[in-house]
Parts: sequence; C-alpha cells; structure tokens
Amino acid sequence: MKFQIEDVTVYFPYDNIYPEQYSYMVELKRALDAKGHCLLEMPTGTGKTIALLSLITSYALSKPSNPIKFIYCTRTVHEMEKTLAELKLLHNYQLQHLGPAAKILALGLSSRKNLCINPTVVSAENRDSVDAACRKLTASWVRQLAAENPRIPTCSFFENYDKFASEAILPPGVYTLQDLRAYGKEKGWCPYFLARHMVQLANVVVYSYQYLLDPKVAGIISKEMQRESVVVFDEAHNIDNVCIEALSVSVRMQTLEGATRNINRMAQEIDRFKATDAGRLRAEYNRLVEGLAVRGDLRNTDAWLANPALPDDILKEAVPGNIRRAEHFLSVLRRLVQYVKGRLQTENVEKEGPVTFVASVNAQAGIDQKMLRFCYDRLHSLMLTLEITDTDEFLHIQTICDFATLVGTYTRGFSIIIEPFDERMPHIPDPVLQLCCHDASLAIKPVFERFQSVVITSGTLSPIDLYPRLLNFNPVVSRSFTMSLTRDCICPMVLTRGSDQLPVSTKYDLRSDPGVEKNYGKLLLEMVSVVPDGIVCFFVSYSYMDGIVNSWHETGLLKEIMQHKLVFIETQDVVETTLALDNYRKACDCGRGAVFFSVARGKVAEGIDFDRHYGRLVIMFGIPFQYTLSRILLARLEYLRDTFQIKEGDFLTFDALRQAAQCVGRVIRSKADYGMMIFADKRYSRHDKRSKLPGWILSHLRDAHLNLSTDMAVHIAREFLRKMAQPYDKTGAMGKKTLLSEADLEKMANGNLGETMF
Amino acid sequence: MGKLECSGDASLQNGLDLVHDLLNQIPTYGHREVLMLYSALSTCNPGDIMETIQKCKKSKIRCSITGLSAELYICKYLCLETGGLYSVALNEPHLKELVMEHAPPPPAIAELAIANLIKMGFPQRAAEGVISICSCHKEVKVGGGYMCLRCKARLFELPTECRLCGLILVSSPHLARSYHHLFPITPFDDVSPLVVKNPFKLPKNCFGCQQSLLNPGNMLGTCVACPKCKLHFCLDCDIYIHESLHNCPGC
Repeated sequence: MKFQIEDVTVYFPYDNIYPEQYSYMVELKRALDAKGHCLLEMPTGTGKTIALLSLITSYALSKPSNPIKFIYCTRTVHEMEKTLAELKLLHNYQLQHLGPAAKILALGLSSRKNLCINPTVVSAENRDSVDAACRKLTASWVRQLAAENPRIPTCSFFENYDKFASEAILPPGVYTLQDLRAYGKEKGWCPYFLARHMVQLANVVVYSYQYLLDPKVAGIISKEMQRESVVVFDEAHNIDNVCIEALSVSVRMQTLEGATRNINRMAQEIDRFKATDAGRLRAEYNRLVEGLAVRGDLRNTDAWLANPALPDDILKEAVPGNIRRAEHFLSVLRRLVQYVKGRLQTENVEKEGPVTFVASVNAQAGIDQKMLRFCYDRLHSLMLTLEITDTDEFLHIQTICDFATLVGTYTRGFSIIIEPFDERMPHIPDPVLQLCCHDASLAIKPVFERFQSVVITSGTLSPIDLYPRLLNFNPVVSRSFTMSLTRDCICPMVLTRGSDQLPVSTKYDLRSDPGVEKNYGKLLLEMVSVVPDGIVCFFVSYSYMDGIVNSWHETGLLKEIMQHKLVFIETQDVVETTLALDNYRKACDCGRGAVFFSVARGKVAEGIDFDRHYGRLVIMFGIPFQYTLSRILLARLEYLRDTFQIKEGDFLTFDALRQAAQCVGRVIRSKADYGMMIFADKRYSRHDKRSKLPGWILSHLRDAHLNLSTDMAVHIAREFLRKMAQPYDKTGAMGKKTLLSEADLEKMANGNLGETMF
Repeated sequence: MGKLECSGDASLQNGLDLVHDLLNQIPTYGHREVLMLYSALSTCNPGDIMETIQKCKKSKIRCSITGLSAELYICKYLCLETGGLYSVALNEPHLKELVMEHAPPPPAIAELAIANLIKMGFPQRAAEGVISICSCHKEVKVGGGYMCLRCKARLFELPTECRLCGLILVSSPHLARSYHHLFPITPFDDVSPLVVKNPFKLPKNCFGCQQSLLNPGNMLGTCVACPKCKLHFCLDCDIYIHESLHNCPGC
C-alpha cells in the first residue's frame, strides 16, 4: 500500500499496517527531518524492521537531489540475512510502483569467512586463519613476486577482480551474502573485496555493529561514509556493552608468551633482511623520519586492522625518534612485555588508572607515553615492511600493542585491573590484566558526530531516559510504543512464593536454600503438566543452573518433569547447544513437548526466537544480575557514579531487568502468537524493579497477576490457554481496529493524526 | 464396554493408525471422518507422526479434534492437513456445543466422489405375526421389523447392512435427508431495489407464500432470488427454505 506522511510518499509492501507501525514511521520521519538522533522502543513482533526499511527508503526516494545513504547495523549475521530478505521484498514492490527510478544498490558486508569463495581459503577453521590465508594470496608483495615467478600461488578471484578495477561494479539490486557469493562465482571476482569497494557506492549497507563502533575495524571499512547518512542500530539494548568491549583489552600469560615468540620471530626476520635487502629497512626509516608513519600507497588488501584508538585521538605527528629503527622498536616491545609480566606476578588485586600505569611504565621500563601511543602504528608499519603474511600467528603482539596504544591515548574513562586469580576459584593461579573501558560514549561518539541521523531502536529500551545519559547524546525524538491487540496475547505474571507460601528468590543468601529450590522445582512441574508444547526456562547463571538442576535430580523432581516433557539444556559449547535446540524444536513439532533450560546472558537469550508453539511459556527464575563482585563491574559502577551521577543500584537493576525483558520477549513474534511469562522472584513485586520493565509488558501486567503463588499461577495459566485456543479474528472487526488499510489511513490523516490511537 | 481400560501416555499416532486401518475398508464414495476428544497435553508416538498424517491425508480421512485442556500444535497441524476442525472447549456447555457442531455431515466435495453404481434395497415392513430369528439380537422375535429383499433375513432397524448377504438397506427419507447435507442448497442472492431495471416486470408476490413483496407506498421491499430459477422469495420463506425444507420450490 502507498500512503502519505506529510510530504513523503511511503511504499509499504503489505496491504495492511498496524497503527503502531504507522506511529513509528511518523516519529522516525520527524527525526529525519530534524536531522537529529532518535531513540525508539517498539515491542517485538510488530513489524519494526519493515517499518524502518520502508520509511527510510521512501524518504530517500522522495529527496532525489540529496541522496541519503542508509546504514543498517545488526548484531548477528542471521539478522543481516533476514533484513536483506525483507529489503528484497520491499524493493520489488517499489520497482513495481515507481519503475526503474526506484533502483537501488543494497548489500550486506561481513568478514572473509562468510564471503570468500576460494575453496582453499574458506576451509580454514576460524575467522583469523581465513584472514591470514587470504592475505597469503593477496598481499601486494606476494603478488609482485607472483608476477615474476608463476609458481607462487595467488587468488584467481582477486586477480580477476583487480584486472577489471573500476569496471568491477555490482548492478543495482539487493544482495544477500549468498547472492554476493553467487555473483562472485559467476563473474570469477572476489566477493569480499568487491563488497568492500561497493559499500562506498551503495544506497543501503547492512553490516554488524563492529564495523561502525570498533575503531580497529571501522577505520578501514567505514572511513569514507558520507555525512548524509542514516544509521540504524537495531536490537540496540546492549549497545553500551558493545561500545565498552570495543575499547577493552585483556592480557593473560599466554598472550605475553605468544608476544615474546612473535618478537623473536620479528627479530629473526629483521636479521634476515639486514643480510639480504637492507635497503628496505632503510627506506622505512627514512619514511618515518619524514613523518609518514604509514606507507601512503597502502593497497586496501594490505590494511587489515586500523588503529584501536578513535580517529580523533590518533596523533598526526611523526613517529618519535627512539622507535624509528626496527631493532629499537623491538627492544621497546621486549621491555614492555617484561614489565607487564612482572605486573602480572602480583599477589593482590590491583586497580589503577591509565595515568598511573603510564607513569610506572615510564619509571620502570623507560617507555614514555608518546612511545606507547605510537606502538600500534609502528608495529603495523614494521609488519608490512617485513612482509609478514600469517597475521593469525601475530595476534598476541597485536593485542599488546593495542593495549599500549589505548593506555597511552586515554586518561579518563578507563581502568587497569590486575587479578591474580578468578574470585570463584582462588586456588588456580590465572593472572589477567584488563584494560577496561567504562565509558560507553567514547566508542559511539564519532558515529554521533559524523552522521546526520542515528536511530537506536529495540524492543526493550527501558528506562528510555538512561540511554542518552550513558551514551552522551541528545535525541530529538525519544518514544516508546505499545502493541495494539485485539486480544491480550501475552500474560505476564509475577510469582513471589511457592504453594507453601514461602518466598522464592535467587538472591545470593537464598540460593542454596533447599526450600527455594524445591519451590522452583514444583513450579516447573506444575507448569509442565498444564502447558502444551514448548516451555523455556531462563536461569541467572550457568553455575546456578548446574546447582539447581543437580538438586532437582537428587530429589527426583527432574524425573517427574521428564515424564511430562523432554528436557534440553544449553551449555557453553556452541555445537551442543545447536543440537539441543534442534531436537527441542523437533520435540515440540511432533507433539511430545519439551522444556529448554537456558541462561539469561547466554547465546540463546540473545538471538534465538521461541515463537508460536516453541515457546508457550517462559519462566525467568530470579533476576539476572551481573556478577556483582567482579572488579570490572565495580570499577564501571564507580565511574558511572562519579561522572554521570547514576546510582549503582539503579544501574544494576536497569541492566538486570533489560536482560530479563529481552529473554522474555523471545516468546512473541507476531500478533497471532500468544505466550505466558512468569517472573519468579519475590523482588519483582517491588515497584522499583517492576517499573523498569518495558511498557508493553507492564501494560498487560494486571494487579491480579502480581504476587502469585504456584497454585494461583497454574489456575491463571489454564484459563489463559483455553481462552487463547479459541479462533482469532486478525482484523479486530469489533471495537478498535488493529489492521489499517489505505482508506483508514487517509481518514486518519484528514481527521486528527495519531493522538486518538494511543 | 466396562472391561476396556487405558493406561500409559496418550498417543495420537496409535489412534490415527487404528482409525486408518478401520476406515480404509469404507468404499471411496463414503465420507471418512474421525472425531477425537483429546485432553492430554502431549503425545508419545512410536514412530514419525508426520508420516501417519500424510497417510491419512492420502486416504482422505478428515480428522477433527475437540481439545479439553489447551491447544496443541500437532493437533492443529493434523486438522489443517486433513481439512478437519480443531476447537478447544472452555467449559462444559461449550464442549457440548462443539461436539454437536460435528453432528451435521460436511458438504461433499464433488471431485472426490467417483461415479459408481451401488446396489441398495428399500425394504417394506415385514409381515406381522411372522415368527423369525432376528439377525441382530440373535433371538426369536414376533412381528415388527423389516425383511431383506435378497435373502429374506429379518432386520430390526434401518439404515443397515444385511448380516447375511451384505446388501445395504435404507429407506427413502434417509437418503433425502442425507442428500441435503451433502449437497446443500445454494444461498439466495439479495435483490436490491436500486438495481431494478424495469419496475413493472417484477413479481409482486413471493413465490413461496404468495404474500405481497411490496412495502406500503408501492416500493419494493427486501427480497431474495434463487440464482437457478430466478424466482423471488420473501425473507421468511428464505429462512424456512434454507433451514427446514432444504429444497427450492421453484427448481
């Protein structure tokens, strides 16, 4: 259908639209007009993705004189593929209506592992070895040698692509990763480099968060994106954690030993070069003297990682004199590694700021701050000069140099924490040095400054006013939408006690209480005998899940549960978990019924959907707080308190409840779907915890469903399931309409707009 | 009946297998239907239930399920694939309503019925005062009952299949009654007074009850017309024809 929002004609590929999709598009358009940033929360299962795509592409089409680029960031490759599939549908629809004027180029970009079609390269085990294998075939020095000596292997796809150079372009259309690979195979071109090049020219680009937020990657891929772009971060409730991890480094003993090996290897290479081709090293030295830290004519195949510091913070000066010569630089690195080894051999936990650390490095190893700042650039240049191709071996020294550069560049917002052993296992010495970033706004600042509109959207962004403070930006639009429903298809309940009226909780002091474990077990047992098909249970941590499942097994409760349904557990191994999920789905499909035990911060909670019969009930056992005694968390909380005046308790609760809401939202994916959610912990009945749940859950949480005990919950569940099994009228002919057609929208636009809907 | 007991887990596949074997013996011109009252929340199957469902679909067995506890995906899938009806009861009166909904037979699908000649008998009541052995009660009875036309065996009631010679015996009202379930009368079209081309050509009276179709003021009131014979009927006759008579008086 086609409709107008003020001056923009929006092309929507379906015949009907939900009222909240319409309101979402109106707000989004306002933000785009104002050329500002926005925060939008819309519940899962309401067609957020297609609303975003259709509005932004229609907006771009309506202003052909200023072409707007659309950058869509997703968390996983799977989400990328889903988005591109929806975009294809939309694009076909737009072509039908507007003809060839609506042609756009849209593509997804991912790592070499997902795009390479060279069979020898792509068969390597992990992402780093694929990168290294690719580099062995495509580095500029290798190709130079191959030009003279045909026996040296190169990548035929890359050579073909390179031959065409500027004529190697993708015709307009929407390309998923599979399409890119197919196109590359057809033309004999390398899809990865083709995609990387076309990203500059495409109208719509879909890639992962790292490509914009992590300076190491963004510096290469997203360097030249134009300012008139709309950036969308989808499922962005964890974006502050992603930003923090992008700027954090962790160093262990293995890293240091690996670094030492790398340094020795580089020393050997330098000696070899001195003997055979001293000119190369001298050329590098001269370049550094002239102030060019990096070779200017760097081919895009040679750049594999950029500077870990943010682009504004990289010093644009000449490399300092005492690390210009290769041997001097190596000795500096050796001293640094030695110093860090010494620090790791401490008996106590130490915490200090970057300034103190740099001062002590200077005092003990004689390396000053400027030298540290240039570590990365110098290493990069040296590795190019030495023509090192197997970069996966050199990851350790790279980590050390990343660490050094970040420590030298930033003075605020970071802490260095050295722990001699993991708190939970005090007898095993496992020293680790962590450079922790506490300030999420650092990594995302260049994105906000560079691009004209940034949209942060998700299903669980509550409380919404905390995000602008954490990420330090000013949104022009910040809104939360609720689902419009003909029937209440979600039934959240807060369960605070068992049938014996004893309170249940995962509070630390109650964790090993046998009464609590028994009550949780009885809750699951009762639910298993009342709810059909699939049930998902989320626990607060792997160790808690292990403990409670063990005690259920010992008391025989697990056996009784298994008589009703099969039980599957998520483990820390990806393959096992995938297998478990597969079988869980099979069990639900054939009517046997199954329960899936999962962890609130695990992989399953982040990405897997349990819609329709795969998730009729989700039980959140407890409140998934982070491990509150972790030093990193304590340091971050202190920083937040000092800088942003956010209280520790508030932040911890916010983080825990956002995680709980995310877990629970996995169960509803569309409006015809229905599911129940049980929050099983006595602390949920408190207003300060409950109010942090997103609006679309709270609006269905009736007072009668608070403070339940197990038998009351079972009764409510039975009634709900019976009611939901009755036939469902999608359009809601009686009362409020939930599916609008073009005619309805026109009437609305002529009458009063939007306010009467919500 | 009192000696039958059940134990163990509910199994949809076992039930479907049993039904499939029983119903396969029904000739192809007959409807094959099964209604299951299912209150379990899971089904423990010995094999792949999807295969069994496909088997039932191929044999054209229409499976309907009335659930008593909650909605199961596999039941919904089964009913969707075989063209049946899945409903879940909210309470006792609702359960009765749902089960009774299955009492009238579904309309026949014309393509499925292969044209066949079937031998059927229309017996008269047997002579009174004759002593014979009733074939269903297996005891001597006096008078009453029907006589099979081929083998002269005594039968108790109609419709039935004769025990001795296998002839199908019905009475004509039975056939007439089932006919209007299998081939329901088409709904009549609304005649809107605005579409009237020539107001003088319209009949002024309903064909069924001969009452006047005109409103006071000589305007045409609401009426309906049969799409086949194009005769007009008033709304009362329309309701009577569709619910009780099952036959258009004009056709």
